Amino acid sequence: MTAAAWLVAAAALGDAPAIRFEDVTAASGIDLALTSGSMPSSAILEVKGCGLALIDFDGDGDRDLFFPNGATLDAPEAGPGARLFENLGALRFRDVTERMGVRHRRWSFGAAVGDVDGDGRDDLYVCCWGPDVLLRNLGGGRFEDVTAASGLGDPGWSTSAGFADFDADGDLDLFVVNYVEFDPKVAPPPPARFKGMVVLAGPRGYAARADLLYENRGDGTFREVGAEAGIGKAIPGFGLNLAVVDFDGDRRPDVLVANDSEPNALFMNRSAPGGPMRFEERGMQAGVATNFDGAAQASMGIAVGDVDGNGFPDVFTTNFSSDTNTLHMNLDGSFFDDRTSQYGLGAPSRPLLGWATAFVDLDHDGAEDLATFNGHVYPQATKASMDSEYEQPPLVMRRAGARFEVVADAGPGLRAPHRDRTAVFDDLDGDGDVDIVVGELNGKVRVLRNMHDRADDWVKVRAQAPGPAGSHGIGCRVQLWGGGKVLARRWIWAGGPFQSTVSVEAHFGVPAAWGDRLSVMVDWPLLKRPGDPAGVMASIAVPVRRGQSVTVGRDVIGAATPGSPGSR
Amino acid sequence: MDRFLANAAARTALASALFAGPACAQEPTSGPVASPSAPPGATAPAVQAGVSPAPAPVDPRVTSIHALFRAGDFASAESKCREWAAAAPGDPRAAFYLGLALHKQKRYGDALPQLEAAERAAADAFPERPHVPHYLGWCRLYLGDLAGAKVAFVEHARAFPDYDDTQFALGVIAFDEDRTADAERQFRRALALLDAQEGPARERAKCLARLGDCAMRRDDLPAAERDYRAALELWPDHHEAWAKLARVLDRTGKADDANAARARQQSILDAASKQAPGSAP
Repeated sequence: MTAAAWLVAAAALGDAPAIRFEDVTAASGIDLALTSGSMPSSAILEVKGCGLALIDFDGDGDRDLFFPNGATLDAPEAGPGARLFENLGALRFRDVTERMGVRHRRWSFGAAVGDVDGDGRDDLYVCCWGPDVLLRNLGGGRFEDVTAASGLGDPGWSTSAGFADFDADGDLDLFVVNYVEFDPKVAPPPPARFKGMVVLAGPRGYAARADLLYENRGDGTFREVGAEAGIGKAIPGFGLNLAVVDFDGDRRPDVLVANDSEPNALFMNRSAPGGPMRFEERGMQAGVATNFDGAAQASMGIAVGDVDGNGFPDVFTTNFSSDTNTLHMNLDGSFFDDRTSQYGLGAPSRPLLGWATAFVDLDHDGAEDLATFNGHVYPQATKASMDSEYEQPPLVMRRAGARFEVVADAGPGLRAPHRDRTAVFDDLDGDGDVDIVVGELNGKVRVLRNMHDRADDWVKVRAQAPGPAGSHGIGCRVQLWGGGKVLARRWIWAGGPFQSTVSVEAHFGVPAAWGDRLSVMVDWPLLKRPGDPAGVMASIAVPVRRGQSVTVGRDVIGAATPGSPGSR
Repeated sequence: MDRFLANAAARTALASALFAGPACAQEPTSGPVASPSAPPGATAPAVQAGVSPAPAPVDPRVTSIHALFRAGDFASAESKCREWAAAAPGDPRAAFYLGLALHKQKRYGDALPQLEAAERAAADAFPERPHVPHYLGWCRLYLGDLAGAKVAFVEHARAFPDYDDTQFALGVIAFDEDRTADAERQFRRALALLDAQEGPARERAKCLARLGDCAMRRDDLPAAERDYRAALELWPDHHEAWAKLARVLDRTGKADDANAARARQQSILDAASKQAPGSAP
């Protein structure tokens, strides 16, 4: 579109700011083609693609990028290797992989980031086919593989993981999502049929692998407690992703596991502060395990947001083609209801097979929009043969009143079809709007710059406190207040768009109508306190200006800060 | 299930050929997931349109395709249709039947251009032409083109206001557009049309379940429970209705009943998967 045409289009939108992205990969310093088996994909291991993690490995306050990367079936332990890129600002990055001191070449998927040993530095957990890996950040950009000493390193196929302080004891525990038992030496299940065509068999012919829950002993070593904590009671599913969020508002991080072709699992955290971890699986009873029709879905990407403004985190999942993506509205912390069609999110997703997704206020009108990256798993997919193409464009849906509507053209960076899988969403250039980095199946990484570029219509909030559990603010709810009411909410959660991580920074678009008298309130998760079995629930409020980034700690002890806006 | 077919004996040659027999058993159970269907009360287009019915054309190609449809052998029907289309390029009737054969195999992307070609033909170009928008509507709906589906169904409803499956489809669209009251009105109309002609219990159950969905959208849980139970009275194997009923029961604190409903849903699904092993991707 020419500049003149764009101006005409922008004028037609009236006051609604346009959503525009440009591809700045060429100038970004990231020239990376990810590896995930061969093309065309011929095994289930090859279709999920590689993951991506945001990590501030050098502690300079911005987020760097870690690509776990995959490998090939003939050399699964000797892929091209993980890559680490340092954020130099202005969406420019420098490959510092060699400086890491660790050459990780095992076939990998997602990754989780957290300070596991309390030294103030972001460590990395890498999900692999084969033993997972814990890379301890030694500082100076160097990492050490401490898997053997950590008690981690489960040998199965894990796809995603998330750190959180599940038992409120101040350190970071770990939830690992597993997929299937895959052994290339064993004959795969027979091919399946889809739309009359013979296709690669999905997970149903394989044995599911149970998810794992690790308790941090406090020193960066871990003990697997899934069975005793109630995770093991759940029927194993084909896990692809997770969202570690406080779904019921009790200030304990719960876990939603997105299972492929099986019901999702919702593990509600019933742990007492400092006590043993206890979870209750309630996915089916809560209404989040299946779609409205009671059907299990492919459930790959996860987005979390407060779509209906009721204070509870709603969940959006991406699914297979000829199905719809699904919005599970969190009604009251106990029950979810599939409201996909009510919000206009069903029909546009039917031709697409969705992966990474996120609720983000891309245009800064105060309401979170929705971006989804797509691509089919079957190389032979065409609209004629499968009602869906192999390469698919991203789907951007703008919140317009009560519903979402498709953005026909979100700029040159979001126009072309790809075989996308993973993505991260973050303000990587520090200009106040959220940029995107996307990873394609056996394709080049793309860096997409948000062209919103205004200095006065946003607020960013980091929740950060001393100690490993506070370093990323995982489990915090962040509310933006103005005019005596909550204007918007965000959650800082673990897990991510797909085999990736979410930003540790809560981003708010702030339209002019919201005025200038703004404050943010951070509701911290429960933390144990000696002699206090109930633990501490801190809610901290601070004033904030437009165009300001603030960091909110948890140093005020009590149920709520005096004078702060009321809670939910 | 395809309602035209279930009432084939009383229908015109087109209806009896297209919508009866084992083909129906392969369809999913409800809503837009289900294959397009036509109402049991639907008569030949010309009759419904209030004009004199044209004599049904006798075309051996059509006869053989109808037979394959009735047998549920849509792949063979597709082959026949392709032969016909190859021998008579541009024949909109061949395009219609090819589109229908593809549609029945849930290959909507493939079916769409065929049905669009059939729709471009004159209104009286072939006997089935007036019903093309109905199938085009379902096709577009499955492909995610809500607006295009609406255009097609509205056109069909204008010609055939008593076509219950088109009324049902318009209800599905209204529900997707968050026009719950309109959706409810459409589902009630479809149900009334079915009741009036003593239509299949399964089709009436689908309408009732959809009314339950509307009640859920309004957060009217007692009404939703009533409608889902009514649907299950008519069609006890409606697994989606069992799942939805379970959700209502969970939300109203009847956990044991909810678990029982879910168990019923699962047993129906298990039985279905035994009938069609390996059908899932």
